[in-house]
Parts: sequence; structure tokens; C-alpha cells
Amino acid sequence: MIAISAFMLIVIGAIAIFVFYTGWPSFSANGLSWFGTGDQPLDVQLGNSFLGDPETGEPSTVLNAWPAILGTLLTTGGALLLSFPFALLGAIFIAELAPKRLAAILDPIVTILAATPSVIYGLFAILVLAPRIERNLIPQEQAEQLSAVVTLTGANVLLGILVLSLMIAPLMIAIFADALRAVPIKWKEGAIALGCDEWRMTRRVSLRAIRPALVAGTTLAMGRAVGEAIALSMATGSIGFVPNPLDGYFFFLEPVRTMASSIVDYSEGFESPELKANLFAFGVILLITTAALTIGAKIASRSAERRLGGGQ
Amino acid sequence: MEPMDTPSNDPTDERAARQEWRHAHDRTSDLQAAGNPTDPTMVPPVATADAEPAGTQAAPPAASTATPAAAQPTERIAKSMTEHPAHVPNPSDLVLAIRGLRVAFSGNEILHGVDIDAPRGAVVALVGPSGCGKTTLLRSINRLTELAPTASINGEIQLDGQNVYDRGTDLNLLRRRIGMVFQQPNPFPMTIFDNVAFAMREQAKTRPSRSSLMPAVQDVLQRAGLWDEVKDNLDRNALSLSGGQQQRLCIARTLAANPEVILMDEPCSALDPRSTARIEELIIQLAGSLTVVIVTHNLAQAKRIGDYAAYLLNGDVIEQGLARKVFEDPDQQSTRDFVSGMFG
Repeated sequence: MIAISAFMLIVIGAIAIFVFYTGWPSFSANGLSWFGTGDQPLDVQLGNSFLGDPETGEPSTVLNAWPAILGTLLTTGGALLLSFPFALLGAIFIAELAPKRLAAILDPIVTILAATPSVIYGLFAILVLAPRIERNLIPQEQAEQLSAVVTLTGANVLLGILVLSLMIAPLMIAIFADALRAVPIKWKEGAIALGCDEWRMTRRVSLRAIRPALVAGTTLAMGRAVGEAIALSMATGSIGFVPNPLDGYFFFLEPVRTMASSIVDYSEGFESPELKANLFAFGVILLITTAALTIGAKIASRSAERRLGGGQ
Repeated sequence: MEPMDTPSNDPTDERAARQEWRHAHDRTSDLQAAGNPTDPTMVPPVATADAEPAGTQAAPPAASTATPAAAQPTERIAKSMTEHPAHVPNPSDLVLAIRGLRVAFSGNEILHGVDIDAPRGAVVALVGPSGCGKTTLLRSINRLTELAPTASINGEIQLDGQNVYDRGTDLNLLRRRIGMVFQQPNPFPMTIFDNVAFAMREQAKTRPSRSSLMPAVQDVLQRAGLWDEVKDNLDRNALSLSGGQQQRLCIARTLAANPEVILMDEPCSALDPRSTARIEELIIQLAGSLTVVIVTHNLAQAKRIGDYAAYLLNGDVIEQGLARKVFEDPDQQSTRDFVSGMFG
């Protein structure tokens, strides 16, 4: 066991070191402006690091990654906000309210959905949802108005949020429902014996008891959303654009590209050391974010557990 | 939520005070009015004879086997008049009347037509060997039995003359009128204050402020004998209390719902002797202002705290009546064997 654990640690450590080492030139060349907005669009910057700066002909190391960071934040944040309430209600339905037989059908469906490869969701998004969004939500004149800045299609922030929500909701449902089922029957009976109906019992006792699982499940979902590459590469339009809040609700109909999908989209250009460094720099940020999320979730759910009891 | 200023500390005129308390806390007159034109708590006990359906074969056992307790208090009750606030349960004033209760799980009948009487303000002890159906009986009174989908329940349980199994019974209201304390202390994973305030918040239409709940929380914690131990730590996690404290917290939490009857399912079986003694003391104090139906494995405990007792065996009531009679001079040989410790 110890040998296996040690081996795992070494492999993980080696991966981390390799990613940091390869991505480092991007950070050292750009400094803090790596996180800034920059003068040129993200796609031009990434293109220049592969093809070379059109003026000098030299491969450029310039990277201002804000558009990709924003893309990740928007899609992940939006998906969490959208899917959490649905996931919670879904979990309550499956674990508490649904008849046994229905729950027995829904359970494996949720598991399958949670384990479905993300490329399937991406295909679903691009083939089924995108045309509908384009047809119903994007008026022609608005699209023409913005056409000088960006081309509006069905693949955009909104679709990215939708497809991510579809992906992470089953994951959260599965975790939340398991936690709800594990709430001791004595608490449930105690609440019912005090004159709570089942719904209020769930709301006031069970949801309180599963707070650690709510934290853990949400963080896990967030980790998956932050790192999702393929489905978002298909669904968000994959243009390194910064949606403009001044465009009103069209903000959500403008395309973005997340950090993870940037890596996928440009992975063919790895022979250029500059582009490779830039893409691995995205990897560094993703690695740090997911590690922080994991550790943060551990701490948060442990402190929630402590507050909930199980002794001092 | 009105404060629960029970006058249970006033030993002088307990019965009148009790009626006053009940009157002040009577939230359920609409239910009672259906079967009873006058408030049953305010009329002489005889008038509540309609609590029993005519023609039932089970006469109130205590009435047939002994003179009413009011006229001739048992030794324990006489003792409790000096030591504890006196309560004189009247055997013909029934708060609970169970008639022909049959309960089966998946066709396997656990209770075979049980009749039990619980006089108002009494401590009724249900005793019997393991598996005799005591707990099922108890959980049928507040309709927890039916949470098991395989359960089938027949018969009547009258609370103040109203069958709790009637169609249209408000289950949540019923469970507030009939509180329950479980075998395992089961405080919720929240603070002591939130545990006690749980039922009050549940009953309130708008979310009450903490300060408006405080007097009532203090009152029920005092009645449950826990206030002095927790008054400085009301925001502590309830699960950090000791087992005995947790069980008294559960009693306080149940009291906060302002019940007429409290069901207790072996409330001391998970506790040490010292905590057990405290809870027994508490039960004796509570009796009078409300009725306690307690399932217990512990015969000595049933003797100590019970006004009335029922002995169950294999899903049948073998004998019931004044506790003293059942334990010291039982009519049935089977009861005699049980109370003398031959089995069980």
C-alpha cells in the first residue's frame, strides 16, 4: 500500500513539476500582465506565438490571458448557479420524495449521465441546442450590428453554461442524493414526530445535516467545470472574445474561449516552444485552481462537519 | 408562541391549575368540539365517558379493578403529593383510548386487537418482554407506524374522543399534540437553542426572532431540568452534550411543541443510572400537566414512575390497571410470572 501511495505521489509530483516547468517561460515573459486584458485579441496573441509576430517575424511570447480566464469564470460560475438549485431539488426528489420504483429507475440514469463522456454533451450542444439558440434568441439586426466586433452564432457563453450545467448537475445530484439517504433515520423521525411534514423535515433537518456533502459535491462539480475542455471548445464558439456587459443580455450570446479549451484548440501547435509555454501556463492555472478547490472543499466540509457535530 | 408558564411548581391547587394550564394552551378546541360540545378538560371527568364507544368489551380496567385514584390515591401518588406537584389521574377521564388496535407488517400481525386506556395526566407504563409489540403500539399512537409502507393498521385510537385514524386528521397537528421521545437520544445536528426552538418555529407563521423565542426556550429547558447546565451555552452544538443531557434536550424539544401526551420509547435504555434517575424524576414532574405513555424494559422503573401499567405479551394486553395492582397483585398468572422476573 505504501509503495503504491508513494508511486502515486511521485507521478502526481512529476506531472506538476513538468507542467510548471514547461509553462514558466510564459509567466516570466509577461509578468503580472499575463492576467491582464492586453491590446490584441487572445486568438491573435496565441496565433503570433505559433506563427510569429507579423512585424518582426519572431515567435511572440506575449500573452494576456484575461479573456480565457473570464471565459472559464463565466461558464463555470454560470453553470454552478444554474445547476445547483436543480441538482438540489433533483436529489431531494430522488432520495426523499420519489416512489421507490421511480427512484430505482432514476438512480442509474443519473449515474450514467454523470459518467457520460463530455464530447457527447458537446455534440448534443452543437447539433441540437446551438441551432435553436441561434434561431430563437439572436435577432438578425442585432447580429449585424455586432458583426464588426464579433460573429454571433448559437455557440456562445449561454450554450457553454447550459452544456456545463447538464454535465455537472448529475454529478451533484448523485452526491447530494447519497448524502440525503445517509441522514440518520432518527433525525428524520424526530422531525416528523414534532409535526413536520416530509418536505419541511427535509428542508430543516436533512439539508442542514448534509451541508458537508453540499460543499464537497459543489466543489467537485466546480473542478470538473473548470477543467472541461472538449465540450466547451464545441459549445462556447471558441473565440477568445471578452463579452461586453454593455450589450445587455447579448452578453450571454457572445462567444468566449476558456483556458482548458484553449489548450485543446491550439494543441496542434506544440512544436512552437512559445505557444507550448503559453498553453502550459493555462495548465498551471488550472492545476492550481483545482488543487485549491480540492483542499478548500476538504477544509470547508470538515469545518461544516465540526459545526454539525460528531463530537467536539 | 405563548410562553409556557406552567404552574407545575405550585403544589397547592394542582388540579385547578392544571385545568387552567390546559385551557390556556388549548389549541385544539376545534377538534374536540366535533365530538364534545364542552371543553372536556373543564368538565367533571364523568362527562367524558363518551370517549368510549358504547358496547366495547373492554371496560376501563382501572375503574373495574380499583376505586378511582382520585378518591384513594396510590401510595406513590400520595407520596408524590408531598414530594412532587400532585397529580391525581382520574381513571374515567381518558385522554387516550385505544380500541381493538391491530397492526401488521407485510401480513405478519404484531398487535392482535389491543385495548389500552390512558387517563389524563397519568404516567402509563407499557411493559412486556422484547418483541411483544410495545414499541409498535406506542408508534401507532402518533401514527409513526405507517411510515413503514408495509404496515397495515386497524382499530381506533381516540385522542380526546376523536379517532386519530379518522380520515382528514391533520397529521402534523396530531404529532404536535402527541409528542414523542425516542429510545436513542436524537437531538438534531444544530445548536441547543435551535433544537428547542424547532417546534416553535415550525408552528409560527412568520419566522420568530430569537429574543421572542427565548422565554419559551428557557421555560421548557427549565421544565426539562436542563436549563442550569446549558444556559451559558445555548449556541453549543447539541450533539456535544452527554447522552443524558441529549435525552433531556429531546424532552424539552418535545415539550416546546406543547403536547397533551408524550410518548416515550424506553427513554432511559441508553443512559447511565444517574441520568436515568433524572429523567424519571422529570417524568413524574411532567405528569399531571400532561399524560406520559412510556414503554420500558425496566420493571423497577415502571413501578417507580407508573400510575397505570399495561402488560403486553405477544401482541395482546394480558393485564392493565393501576400500576400498583399490576405489579403487586396481578390477576393473571402470566403477569405474575413476568413481574416476579420469571421471564422477560
